[in-house]
Amino acid sequence: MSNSYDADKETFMGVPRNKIPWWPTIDYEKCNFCMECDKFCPHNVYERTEDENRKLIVKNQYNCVVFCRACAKACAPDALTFPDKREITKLIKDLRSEKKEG
Amino acid sequence: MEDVENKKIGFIMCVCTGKCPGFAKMDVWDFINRVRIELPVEYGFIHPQLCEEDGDRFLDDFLRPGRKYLIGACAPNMQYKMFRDAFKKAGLDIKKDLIPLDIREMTTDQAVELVEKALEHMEQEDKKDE
Repeated sequence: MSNSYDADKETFMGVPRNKIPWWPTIDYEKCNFCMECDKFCPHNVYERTEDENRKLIVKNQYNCVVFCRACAKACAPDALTFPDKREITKLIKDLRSEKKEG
Repeated sequence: MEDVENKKIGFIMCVCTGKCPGFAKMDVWDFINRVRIELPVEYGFIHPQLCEEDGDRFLDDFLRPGRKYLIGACAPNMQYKMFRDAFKKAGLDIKKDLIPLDIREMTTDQAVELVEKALEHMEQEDKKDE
């Protein structure tokens, strides 16, 4: 991942990235730890661990590109979910309005 | 009837919303301008996120049978997965008609060189077929 990326300073659609709860959730009941998601994602969103039950975790949630779901498309056991896009879009709009009003 | 046979390949760059750190090393505008002006492509343009719903709708409108498309974006195996339905719908064979290039984590020069090499390779392959 590029060193120039700083999730604390990045914005998405005019809103600070770290105010937007968009990242994958791993369903450990389904995940077979094939690591295809981690192999695809170049942003260090995931981290491999020594924990036998959780060999993969979401480590850097704000590195996830908002509205990118490509890793979920790579997931054969369908173990990754993302928030509802419409809800996140609404949240972004609301946060932008608050910023304007404030 | 349009002469698609003599048309060069179309180049689409997908920048994963434009906020993807994978493109932080390059100047995307310098890149696309060099590709569309200096390289032998029919056109070149940037789409913000081809793998999202509006990207699917765009491809539905845009892809045409008899054409080849070079997409500079993320991993080729993912491009095959993500664009499979759109290519099929357009009557295209994704294995032949899509040339996927992973241009993430590259500088502008590196990405242009990769596209250039892919175009040269295609030209050589076309000559073999003639």
